[in-house]
Amino acid sequence: MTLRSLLAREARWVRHNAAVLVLVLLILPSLFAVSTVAFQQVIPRDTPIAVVPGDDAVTQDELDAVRGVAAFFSRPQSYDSHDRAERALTREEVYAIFVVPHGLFDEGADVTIEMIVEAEMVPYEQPSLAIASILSGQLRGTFPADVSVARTVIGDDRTLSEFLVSVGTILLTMVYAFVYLPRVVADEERVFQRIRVESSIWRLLTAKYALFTPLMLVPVVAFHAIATHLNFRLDLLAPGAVAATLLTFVSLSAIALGIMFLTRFATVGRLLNATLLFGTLAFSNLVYPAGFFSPLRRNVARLSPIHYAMIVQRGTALKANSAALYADRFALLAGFTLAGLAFLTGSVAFYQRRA
Amino acid sequence: MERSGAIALGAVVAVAVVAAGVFAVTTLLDGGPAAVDQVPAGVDAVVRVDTAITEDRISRELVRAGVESAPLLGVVPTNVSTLLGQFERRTGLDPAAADEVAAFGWRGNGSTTVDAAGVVVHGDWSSATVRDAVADNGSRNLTATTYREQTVYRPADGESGTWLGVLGDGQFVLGNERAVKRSVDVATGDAAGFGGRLRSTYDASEDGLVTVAARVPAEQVPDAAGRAVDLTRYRQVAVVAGSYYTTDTGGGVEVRLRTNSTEAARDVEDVTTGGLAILRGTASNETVEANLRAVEVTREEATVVLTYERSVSGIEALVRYYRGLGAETAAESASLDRAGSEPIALAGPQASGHGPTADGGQRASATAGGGRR
Repeated sequence: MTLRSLLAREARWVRHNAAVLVLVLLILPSLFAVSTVAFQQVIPRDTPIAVVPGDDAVTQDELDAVRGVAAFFSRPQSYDSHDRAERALTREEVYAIFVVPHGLFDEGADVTIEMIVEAEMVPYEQPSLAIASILSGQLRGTFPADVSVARTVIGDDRTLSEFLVSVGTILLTMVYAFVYLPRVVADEERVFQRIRVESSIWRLLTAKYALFTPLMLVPVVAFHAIATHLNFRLDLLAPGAVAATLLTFVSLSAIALGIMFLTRFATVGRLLNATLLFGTLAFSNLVYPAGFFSPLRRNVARLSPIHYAMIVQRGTALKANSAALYADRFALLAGFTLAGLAFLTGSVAFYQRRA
Repeated sequence: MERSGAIALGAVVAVAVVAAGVFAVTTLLDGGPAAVDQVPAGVDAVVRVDTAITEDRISRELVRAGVESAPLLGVVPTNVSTLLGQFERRTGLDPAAADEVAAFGWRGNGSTTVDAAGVVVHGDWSSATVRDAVADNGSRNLTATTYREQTVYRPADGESGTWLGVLGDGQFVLGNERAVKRSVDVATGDAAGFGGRLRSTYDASEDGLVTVAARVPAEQVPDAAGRAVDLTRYRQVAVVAGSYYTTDTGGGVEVRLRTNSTEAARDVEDVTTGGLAILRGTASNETVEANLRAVEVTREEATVVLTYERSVSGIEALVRYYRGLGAETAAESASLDRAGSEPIALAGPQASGHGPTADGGQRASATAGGGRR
């Protein structure tokens, strides 16, 4: 079969399954977009934060002291320059910046510790308010100086709904990759059994990807349309955001399909994929800052490429950052995608040898 | 006491309090030594005393200087001398004839201190000498029995008190029945000695005259010391080990806080470093500040290590300061009779600039030279 005829075949399939496609690709995301409005907050304890000196006069003791106090509610990291700290903030390597002033140990001096948070990181807003008030309470009487905490918000204000629409696109992409595409391919298991020649399988899979990768833009566009309709201030169609979403789809679906071939389309493969889906959902900290729940969860999230895909998508779609800021993250995602495709290649080869 | 002093005792020493609790344990013991390898598995605390401490010049100088009134270091000589003195009074045996004493115990339910259970002693005594000593030279009756083919003396019927087990030539275990039997089990190879994190943290400790390791009852760690230093992070500490050692010119203490994970250790490291920085910044007395500056905090994976090493004169200065505070508050001035001694030395020669890894070798050899016979 040529690629052309295969594509024609896919087109027929779309016509036959139009209702399902509309449901899965359009209704589901819309429902999700609406349901995201209700979400609760929790109190963080292990989120990474940056500690930076306010100026050259700040001593190591002053930095250590603030680090020590901050260790109560966060995982402090020292940065030597304000710019580097802000870059880390917008890249979600840290979720707040504490600017340490000089004079903490000067009796009677009036000093202010500035706590900088990003407006777009909506789920961190309430916790950061709580932290600022806890901190100013704790600092009172600790230092000889009269220390106050000033919370500065940088970036543009966003609502929780806007924040969650951005999360929703990645989330649904994961569902398509782990559940929907494997399901579609499994329905054609007989075709794969009939095809003995490896190159034919590749053409078939290429056709699948040629269809489904652009199809993944449909929910993104749907999200974007609804968001625009609701006057949400985010651009899900920003090139960086689209690239992050598509890389997420290709990499995860390659892994999911690889598992299907490896398990010879057995039910166990589907269960495995479902487990992977929930695992990735639960441990990539898509909504809450890494370390919101526990240091272990933070470390797991830091290992998940999807965590970074989310950060890139959020950065470009919600924060309107340039994609260039995330060059290293894109490299990581591209590497992860290649690894996923390599895994798929390996499992297809395995499938054929045993066929 | 002013704020800095109060927090100094609160934050830094709170960490060592657990260790201090273990020292207190030793005073409950019937007295006697235990070589660490004969301490049974499952114990909550182990204290090993190298009896060379009784002849250690620096340790004597520090005791003469009144080191017991200084935080952190003070607990060591006081408790050791109490322990050894008690041992001598109770048994009539000269502790100097012992080479090594290792006490161990289990923690009672909800107790902060460990109920001392047994002491393994290695020393140059015959079994008969020790047996007579334990029997208070005839005022108690001991019945010789055999347990795992080792001689064990138990209190005669109707009597209670210390059991004595012979672990080998010149090796004895004194204590209650459980402690003695478990220790014999270890000595005969029928059971494993204490291990796990308690042992690894103990083993990693600086080779000193006194070495302590104890499991930490997390729920007993207070919430906070002062307002800023949050001690809940210290609940992640599973084992505390401490060692006291002397060099040619001074003394030092190393405290190791073994946490459950590298992450937890980072928390403990940050809180400890920050607490010390706050103490230094708020210390109104230069002597205290210099001593706080001598405390170094480092981290080795899941273990946070606090080291404090000072010259004798540096420690003396601190002792004078705290005595002065005692004199002010209690108005019963301990006579500051260090006449002729030099004015307060702010920073001893090795107070700064030496990382624990950088001079670890020098320390070990100094300990061996100055502390060991």
